[in-house]
Amino acid sequence: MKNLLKAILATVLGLSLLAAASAVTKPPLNKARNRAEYRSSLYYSESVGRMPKNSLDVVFIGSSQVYDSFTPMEMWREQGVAGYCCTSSGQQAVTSYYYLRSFLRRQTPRVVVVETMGLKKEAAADLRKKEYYNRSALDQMPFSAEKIALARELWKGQENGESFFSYLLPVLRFHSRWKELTETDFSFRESYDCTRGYDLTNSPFGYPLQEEDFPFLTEEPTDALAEWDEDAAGWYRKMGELCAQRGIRLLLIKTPCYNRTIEDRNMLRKLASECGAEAMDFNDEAWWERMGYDYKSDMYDRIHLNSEGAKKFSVFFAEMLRRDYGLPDHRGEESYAFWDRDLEIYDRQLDARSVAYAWTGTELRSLVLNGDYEMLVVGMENAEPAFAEALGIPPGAESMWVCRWDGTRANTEYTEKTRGFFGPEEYEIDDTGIYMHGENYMVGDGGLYYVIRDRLLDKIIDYGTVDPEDALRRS
Amino acid sequence: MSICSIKFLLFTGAVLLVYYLLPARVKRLQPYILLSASLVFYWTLSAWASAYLLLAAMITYGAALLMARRPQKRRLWLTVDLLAVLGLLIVLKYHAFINYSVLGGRLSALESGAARFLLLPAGISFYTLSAAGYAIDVYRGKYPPEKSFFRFLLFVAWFPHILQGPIARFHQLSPQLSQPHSFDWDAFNMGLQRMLWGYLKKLVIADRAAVFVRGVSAHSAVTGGTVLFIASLLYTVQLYADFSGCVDILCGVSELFGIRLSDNFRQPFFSRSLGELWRRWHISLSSWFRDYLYIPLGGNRRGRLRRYANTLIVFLVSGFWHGAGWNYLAWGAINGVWLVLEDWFYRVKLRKRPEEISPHLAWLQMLVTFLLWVFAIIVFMNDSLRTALKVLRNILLRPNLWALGDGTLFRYGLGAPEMTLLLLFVALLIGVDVLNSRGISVRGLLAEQPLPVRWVVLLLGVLAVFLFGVYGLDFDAGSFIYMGF
Repeated sequence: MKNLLKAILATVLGLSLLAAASAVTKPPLNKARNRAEYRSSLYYSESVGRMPKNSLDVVFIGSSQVYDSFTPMEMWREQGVAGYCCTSSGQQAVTSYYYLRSFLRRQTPRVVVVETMGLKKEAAADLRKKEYYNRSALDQMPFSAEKIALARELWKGQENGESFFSYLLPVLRFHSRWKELTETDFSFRESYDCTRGYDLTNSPFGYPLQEEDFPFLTEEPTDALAEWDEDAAGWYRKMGELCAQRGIRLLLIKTPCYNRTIEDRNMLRKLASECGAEAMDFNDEAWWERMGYDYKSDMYDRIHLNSEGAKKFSVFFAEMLRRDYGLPDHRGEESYAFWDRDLEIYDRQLDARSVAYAWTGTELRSLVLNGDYEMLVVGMENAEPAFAEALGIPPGAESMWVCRWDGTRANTEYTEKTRGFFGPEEYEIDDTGIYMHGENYMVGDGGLYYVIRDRLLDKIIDYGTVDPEDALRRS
Repeated sequence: MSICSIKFLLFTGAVLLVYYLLPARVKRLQPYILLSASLVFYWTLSAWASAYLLLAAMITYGAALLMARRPQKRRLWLTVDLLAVLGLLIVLKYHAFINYSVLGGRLSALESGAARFLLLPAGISFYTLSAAGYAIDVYRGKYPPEKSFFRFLLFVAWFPHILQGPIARFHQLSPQLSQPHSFDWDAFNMGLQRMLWGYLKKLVIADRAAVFVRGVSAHSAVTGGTVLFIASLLYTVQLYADFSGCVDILCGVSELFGIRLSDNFRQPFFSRSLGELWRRWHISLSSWFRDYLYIPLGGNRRGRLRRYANTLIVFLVSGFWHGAGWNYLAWGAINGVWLVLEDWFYRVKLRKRPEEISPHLAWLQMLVTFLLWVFAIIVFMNDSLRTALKVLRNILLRPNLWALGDGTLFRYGLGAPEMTLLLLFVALLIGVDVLNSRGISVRGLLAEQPLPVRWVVLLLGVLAVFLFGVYGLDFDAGSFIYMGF
C-alpha cells in the first residue's frame, strides 16, 4: 500500500513537472511583448472562469470575427447586458462546440451567439491545418473533460504526425524552445480581462473596401446554397442540440465580411433551420442600414471590423438582445458593481490603445506628455529634434542621452550607459539596447527610442522609434 | 511502435498491469501474457514480418526436436535449420546488395516480382542469431530441446529484446520467462531507472549528436578535417549512446517484468586494446561469434596463422552482419586487421598482454585504441569507400584548425547552446562510465540516498528527457508567430 501511494505520488509529481514545463515552453502567444501587451486577454479561459457563476446572459463564440466585432463592455455601458467573448483565432466549429460546453459548466446564458466562419468547406479545410491556431485555442482551456475531447478532435485533424499527448502536454511539441526561453516565458501574470474577451488591439484605421468586394450587392436572387463542410456542420448541429436541451436560444451569425454571396447566406439559413437556431448574416444591406454600418470606414481589413465598427455593431447588437431576446439590464445591481469598475479600466485601456496607435511622434508626444504615462527615451545623434526639445533636450545634442519622463517632469542624463527603475522594472541602457527583464526594447535603426508605461494599468503599452521625419516605427 | 514513443510506454504499462494483477492461482498464465504482448508488439511493426518470425521459430523448434529424436541425423537437421533461418536472413537483408553489387543487377526482374515479400523484418538479425544459437546448443547437447512451442516462441519473440538484442541464450532467458513473477518494488524501480538513463542517452545525447553528424556528412566533400574529425568522434558517441541507450531502455523494460537480460556494454572505451574493446562492446554479439563461429573454426588452437585467419573471417562476417554494403565489409576487415596487428605487436614484439604494460601507460593505450576505433568507424559511417577515403584525406591533409574558433562548428545543425548541452551530457555519460568501470554502481549509489534526493534526481532526469530530448517536430517560430488575427 505504501509503495502504491509512492507510485501515485511520483506519477502526479512527474506529470505536474511536465505541465509546468509545458506552461513555460509554449510559444508566448499571449505573453507577447508587443503592442498587444496591454491587452488583458483575447482568450476564453484566462478570466471567463473568474466571472461569478450564472452571471452572464449571453456568450459570443467564434474566432477573430467575434473578438474584433463584439465589445461586451460597450454593451454594458449602453444597455447593461452582461456578455463575454469566448474566442480563439481561426476557430474551428469543433472548438466552438467544446468552448460552449465548457462555458455552460458555470454559466446559464439565455442566448448563445456563434460566428460561423468555419462553416464553408474551403474555410473549414484550411482551419483544420492551422496547427498554431488550434493549439493556442486548446492551450487556453483549463484542464477538463472538454479539453481532452477537443484535443482528440484537433489531433485527428492534424497532418504533421505529432502525438496526441503533445496536445495535452505541449512540452512534447515545444521542448526544442528550451534554448530560446527568456524571462517572458517564465512570467505568468495574473490576468483579469476587463474587456470580457474583446480585442483591444483592434485597429482604429479603415480599410478601403469597394462595392465589388461584396458580391451579394450585385447578384441576382437565388435559392442555391454554398457548400458547407459536413464535419463542421455536424458540430453546429450538436451546438443546436445542446442549446435546445437547456432552453437556450442559439443565433448562428456571420459578421460583416468581404466576398460573401447570396449562396453563403442561404447556406447559413439552411444550417440554422437544421440546428433549431436563428440565422443572422450581417452581410445584408437591410442589416447595414439598421446598424449604421459603412464598409468604407468600419473595417480594418477585409474580414474584421475596426474599433469604431465594433463599437457600432456591439451597441446595435445589445439593443437587439434587450429588445428581442429579453436580456435584463443589470446596471445598478449590487452583484454587478464590479462591471462598472471594470468599465473604468476598459476606458483606460482604450486610451492606452490610442497611444499605441499614434501615427507620428508629434501625436505620441502630445498623448504621453498630457496623460498619466511614464516614458523612457534614448536619443542617439540623429534623434528627432522636436521630440527631444519637448523633453528639454537642447537641439544638436551630439552624445547619447537618456531621458526618463515620470509623468510630470523629465530627468535627463548624457551618458552611454545607465541603469535605474521604470515603474517596478529595473532597466539597463547602453548603446545596444534598453534592457528590462532580460529583453531588449530598442527596436529600429537609430533616432529616438522610446518605451511607454501606463502608470494606472501598470504595464508597458508601447515602444518603438521616432525617426528623424517624425514617423513612428514599432516592432 | 517506436520504443521512444508514449505509445510504447502505455503499451508496456498496460501489459505490466495485466501481468502483475493476475491472481496467484493463475500466475502460470504469465508467460502467455508475455507471449501475447510480444506478438502484438511485433505485429504493430509489420504483419508480414510476423510471418517470417513465426516461420524461423517453427523451423528451429522443429529441427531441435528432430535432433533430439534422431541423434544420428542431428547434423542434417542442424544444417537444414541453419540453411533455412540464415537463408531467410540473407535473402531478406542482402538481396539488393547481392543483386546489384555482386551480380550486376541480373536478378532485378526476380527481385521486383517478389518485392512485396522482400521487406526487411525488424530485428531479424537479432532473432535469427538467437534461434541459430539455440539450435547449435541443442546439437552440441548443451541442453535438451524445448518441448513447448509457445515457450520457444516467447524466447525468440520476447519484445524487449527482439529489436536490438541483447542476443539472448536460451538456457539463460527461457527459464526466467517461464517462471511466475511477483511484483518486486525495488527491482521495478531499478528497471525504471535504467529506462530513464537509456532515454537520456538515446534522446538527449545520441539523437543530438546525430544532428551534427548528419549536417557534416551532407557536406563532407567540402568540409575541413577538424570538423570531419569531430563529426567522427561524435558519431562514435552517437553510436554508443544510441545502441547502449536503446539496450538500457529495453533491459529496463524487461526488468520491470522481473526478467534480466544480459549486459551488452561494459564501458568499452576504457579498453586498453581493441581485443578488450570488442569484449566490452556489443558483448552478446561478440560472444555469439566467439562461441558459434570463432571456436568452431579452430579458435586459438591451431597456430598463429590460423588464429589470424579465423579473426579475419569472424570480423568480415560481423561487418556483413552489421549491414549490406561494402563499407560494412571494409569496416569488418579493418577491425580484423587491427586485431591481427595488435596481437602480433603485443604477443610477438612485446611478449606481453596489453594489461601487463605499465599502468602509467594505460591512458595512452586507451587513446590509441579509441583512435583506431574512430579511424575504422569513418569507413562504417560513410555510404561508400570513396567518400570515406575523401574524409580520411581531409582529416589528415586539410585540418583547417581555425574551424574550432571561428564559429564553423555551429553551422551544422547545432548552435552554441545545443553543442554546450551535448558536451555536458557527454561529460555526464563519461562520468557514469568512469564510476561503473571502478565498480561503483550509480544505481546502487542512488538507492542509498534518502527518498527526497532520489526523487529529485529522477524527476530532473524525466524533465531532461522531455525538455532536452531530440524528438518530434522542431519548433518553427515563424509558423507560430501569432499574426493576422
